[in-house]
Amino acid sequence: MAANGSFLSIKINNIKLLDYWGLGMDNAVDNLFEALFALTDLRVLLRETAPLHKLSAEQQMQAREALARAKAALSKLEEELQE
Amino acid sequence: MKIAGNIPVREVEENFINIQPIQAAGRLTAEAMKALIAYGDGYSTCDQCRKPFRLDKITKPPIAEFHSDLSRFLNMDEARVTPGARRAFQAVCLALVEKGDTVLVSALGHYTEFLAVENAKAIVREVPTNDLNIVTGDAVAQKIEEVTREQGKSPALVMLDHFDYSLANEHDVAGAAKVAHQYDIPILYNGAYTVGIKPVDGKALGVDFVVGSGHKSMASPAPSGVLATTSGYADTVFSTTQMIGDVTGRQFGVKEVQMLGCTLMGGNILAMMASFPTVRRRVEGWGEYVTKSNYVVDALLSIKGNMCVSEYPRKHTLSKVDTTGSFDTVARIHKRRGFFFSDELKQRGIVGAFSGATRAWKFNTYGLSWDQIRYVADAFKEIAGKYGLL
Repeated sequence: MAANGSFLSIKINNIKLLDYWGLGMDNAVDNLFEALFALTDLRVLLRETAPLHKLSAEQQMQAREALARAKAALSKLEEELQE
Repeated sequence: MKIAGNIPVREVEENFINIQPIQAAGRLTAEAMKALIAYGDGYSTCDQCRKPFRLDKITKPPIAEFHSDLSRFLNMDEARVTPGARRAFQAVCLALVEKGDTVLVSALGHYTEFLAVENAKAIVREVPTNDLNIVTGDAVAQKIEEVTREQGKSPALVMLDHFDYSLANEHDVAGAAKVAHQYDIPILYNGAYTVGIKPVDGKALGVDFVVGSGHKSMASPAPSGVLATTSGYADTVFSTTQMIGDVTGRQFGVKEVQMLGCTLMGGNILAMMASFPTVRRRVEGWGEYVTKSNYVVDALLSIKGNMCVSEYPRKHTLSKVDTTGSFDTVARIHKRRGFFFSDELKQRGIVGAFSGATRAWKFNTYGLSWDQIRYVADAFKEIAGKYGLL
């Protein structure tokens, strides 16, 4: 589903999304984008399997990974915002 | 679910297989969606805009590099992003065509080509198609001769769609380019239905301008597009402003007149850039998408009374079919009239066929997986079976 893999660097292909000012990344913002991006990968998976959304074994694994990434990022975001 | 109280969330692509003719290849990649999330703010490209203050010179994010990539991708010398293919037609017409000049377009040319010519106060003349609904180099030559005889001067420009919007038939651009150059006329390649889905080599085609549509074929938001040209025409079509304010003496140096300065200044270009690696890869898989297209068309042709109006076998994923002899016979007696067909498709999770149409209609299978292709093909046959058309 994802075009070329890693999102953890908060890059979209060769476009560095954040911190191109070189000031360091705010963890809350980092995790916010990570969660949104993981859910975006899930969204595309739903598109690719419309209308029945019957996922193959590989797609099920991709869905689990995307959800895990979103949950992990949201969990960290929750912690960040409560500090 | 609503946005801001009254804007419904668009869930078409998530809930349905969408075979709408012009939407298929503009569907965003995941990366483009992410770019929109991050770069949706108005002038988001301008955070680190430095001298000479022009979009195609920005290096962070790598917009300058993207422009170079685009021209290499199309095998041309210079490229600019534009707000859709139509603005590229307009830029070329305004740069090359004088008031009263004639511009040749195809008899299956897009309406925006007409508008671009009219905007330059020039006149459109159409090159007719042959019996197979194809524009040939010979037809272009005949029209050039005809116009030259009538007006005492040759046309100023030829614009030709590689695959047209109506039938998605393939037209002889290379042949037309050869002819146009024999008469010293520049030629524009309209790749709205090719750039971003199949390989396009501007130099091999022998054209002077390559135009693509981001939102039609490059998995990008609207409006977005590309205009690429040769080094010979770059200075003309990308000319910079010479204007000086009479009160202030202001000048705007490198700003390009036909581009009206910077073009795509926010999420659109970043989304286009984000989709580009996928776009570059996917053009190599064009042959398989055409195979899939033929699979669905063959399923439709297996239903008695159906015809393919587009050239067949298909060379494109957009096709026009005539179902007057099948689905339309049901529409004539069904209480929902022609809407029965779109109802039946929607019940099966398929949308995009023109609602109510059961005679001649278009659809596009670009981007669908084999599972989805088989599902669509089976759905057509299933509906035909339900109404005794098989």
